[in-house]
Amino acid sequence: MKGLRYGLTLLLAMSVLLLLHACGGGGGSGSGSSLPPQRPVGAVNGNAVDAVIVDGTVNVYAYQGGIRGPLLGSAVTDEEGYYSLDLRTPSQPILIEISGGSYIEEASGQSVNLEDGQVLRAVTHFQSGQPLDVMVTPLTNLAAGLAAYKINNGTSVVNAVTEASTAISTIFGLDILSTYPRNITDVRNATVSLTDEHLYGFWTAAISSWTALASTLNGTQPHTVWNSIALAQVMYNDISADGLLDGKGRANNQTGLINLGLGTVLLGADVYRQAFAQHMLNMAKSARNKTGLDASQLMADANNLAMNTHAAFGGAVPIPLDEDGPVITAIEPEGQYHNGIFQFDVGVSDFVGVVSVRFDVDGAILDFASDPLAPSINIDTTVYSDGAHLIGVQAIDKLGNETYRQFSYPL
Amino acid sequence: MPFFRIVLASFLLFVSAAYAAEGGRLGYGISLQNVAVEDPDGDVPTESGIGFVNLYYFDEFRRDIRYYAEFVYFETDIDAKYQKIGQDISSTGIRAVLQKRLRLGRHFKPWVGLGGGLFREEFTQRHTIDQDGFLLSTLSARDITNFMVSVDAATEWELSNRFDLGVRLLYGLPLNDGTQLYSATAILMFKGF
Repeated sequence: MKGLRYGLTLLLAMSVLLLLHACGGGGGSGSGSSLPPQRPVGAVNGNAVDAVIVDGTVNVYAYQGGIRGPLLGSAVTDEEGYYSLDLRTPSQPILIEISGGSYIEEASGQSVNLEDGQVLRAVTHFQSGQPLDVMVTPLTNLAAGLAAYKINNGTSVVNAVTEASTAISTIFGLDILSTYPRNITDVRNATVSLTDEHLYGFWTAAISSWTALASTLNGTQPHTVWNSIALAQVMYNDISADGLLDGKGRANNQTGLINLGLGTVLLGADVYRQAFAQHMLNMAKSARNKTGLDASQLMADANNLAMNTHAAFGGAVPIPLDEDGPVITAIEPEGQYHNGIFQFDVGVSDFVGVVSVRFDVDGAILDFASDPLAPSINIDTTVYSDGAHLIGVQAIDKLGNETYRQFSYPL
Repeated sequence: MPFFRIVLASFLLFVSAAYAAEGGRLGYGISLQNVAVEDPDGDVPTESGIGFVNLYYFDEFRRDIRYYAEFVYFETDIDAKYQKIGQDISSTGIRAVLQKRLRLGRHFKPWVGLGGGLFREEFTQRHTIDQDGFLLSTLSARDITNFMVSVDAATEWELSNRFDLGVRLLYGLPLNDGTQLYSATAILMFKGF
C-alpha cells in the first residue's frame, strides 16, 4: 500500500511540475494588467501682450477657490510674446500668470522690464486633452481681478471665470481671451480693414498712451516710472476690490477702499471709458501707428467704450468721447473786403473728426462744403447789398457735436 | 517564479514523505478570496478573486486533532481608484494549520484551527490614477516575505470511499505590509486507495 502511495505522490509531483513548465506559471484569477492610459496632453498657447512681452515667464496654475493652486506648467515667451506649453491635467479652471521679461511701450517706444511682483493674469477653463488659446493682456488681467472679486463674494469659480471674461469682453467689444492683440507699431500688421485683432492692439496701445500722459502729469519721462504694466497692477487692484472699475481699491494692510491712480493722476470710470477711448484715437493718429488704419475706422468702438454703461462702471453716467464741437477758424482776417465771386475758406478741426460744414450768409443757407476737411465755398457778392455781412459756418463732428460761428466781412 | 517552484517542490516533497509514511488525505481547492493590501505608500482598494491553485495535505495526530499543510498560489489585479493604489499581486506560500474538531451535533462537527504561513508576495504595476481614471503616477514594484497568522473553520462531507468535500472559511492577518485575506474554499480531498 505504501508503494502505491509513493507512486501516486510522485505522479502528482511530476504532473504539477510539467503543468508549470508548460504554462509558465501557476493559475489564478489575475492575468497581468496593463497600466491605465496617461491623460492626453492639452496644449495651451497664446501671447503675452502689454505690448509684446519678450522672455516673460508663463506659469499656469490650478485656479482653486479663487486663489493660485498648484503649478501645472511653465513656459517662456518668445520674441513675439508667444508661449506654448503642454498640460496633462484634468479639466479645471486655470490661472495663467506672466512675470518677468520686457516689452516696448507702443506710445513712447520706451523699453520696460517687468519688476518683481508685476504680473499679468488670465483665468479660463481648461478642458483636458483639448488645445486652448489664451491671451494674457491688461484686459485679461482685469477679468482675472473681477473673477477674484466674484469668487470672494460667493460665486462659484467656474461661473466667476466665465462671467468675468464675458464682462470685460463685452466692455471692450472683443473676445479678450482668444483674440490675438496685434502690435500696431509693427508694419507687418498693416491692414485695410479693422479686425478684432487690430482693435485689441489699439486698446493696449491706448493704455500705453494714457500712461504716457500720466507720466507727463507726474513730471516724469513717459513710461520710466508710470507705465502700462504698473497701471495693469492698479487696474487689478481696482476691480478685485469691489468688482467695479471706479478707481477705488485696497491699500496694503487696510480694509477700507482708497482712491487709486498712477502717482497724482487718479483712476475713475471715465478713465477706463472716455480717456482710454480718446487715447485709442490718439494712437490711431500717431505716427507710431503702422497699421494703416485711421481714427475714423476706430470711432465706433471708441464711442462704444466711452458711452458704456456696463454694471462694472457702477452706474456712473458716461462722459461722451468728445463733448466739444469742431473748432472753426478764419483763414483770412475778418473785415477784409470782397467783391465779385470769391472763395471763402475756413479752418475746421476736431478731436474725432468733422463730418459736415455748412455755410450761410446772414442766416441764409448757401451750401455744404464738398470737403469737410478743407471746407470752402464760392460766394457771389453781387447778390448782396453793399456793406457788412455775416458769413456763418456750421461744423458738425462725427459724434454730432456742433459749432456755429459767424465772421463779418464787407461785401 | 523560481520561488514558486521551490516552494511547490518543497511542499510536494513534504507531502510525498508524509503521505507515504502516514497515508493522510490529499486535497485540491478552489477559493474565493477577498484581499486587502497593506501598502506603505497609501490605501489600496480591496479586491476579490478566485484562487485556482490550492493544494492540501491533511493528517490527524489523534482523534479530533489534525493538521493540514497548504500550498497556495494566487494572483489578482487590483484596479486603482482615485487616491488608492492599483497593482498586480501574486502570492506564493505555504501554510500549516492545527485544527480541532468540535462535536456540536450528531451531524455537525466542524473543525476550527489556528495556523501560520510564510508567503512571498510581489506587488507590481503599482500606480495611481486621477479622478478621471487616467494614470497619475507609477510606483516601483515591491516584494515582501510575509508571515501570516490565520484562523479558520471547516466542515466536510464524505462523497465516496475515496473522496471527501470540505468547505473552509479562513481569515489571514499579515504581520507586516502584506495582504490581509478572507477566503472561502471548496476542497476536494482524496483519501487514498
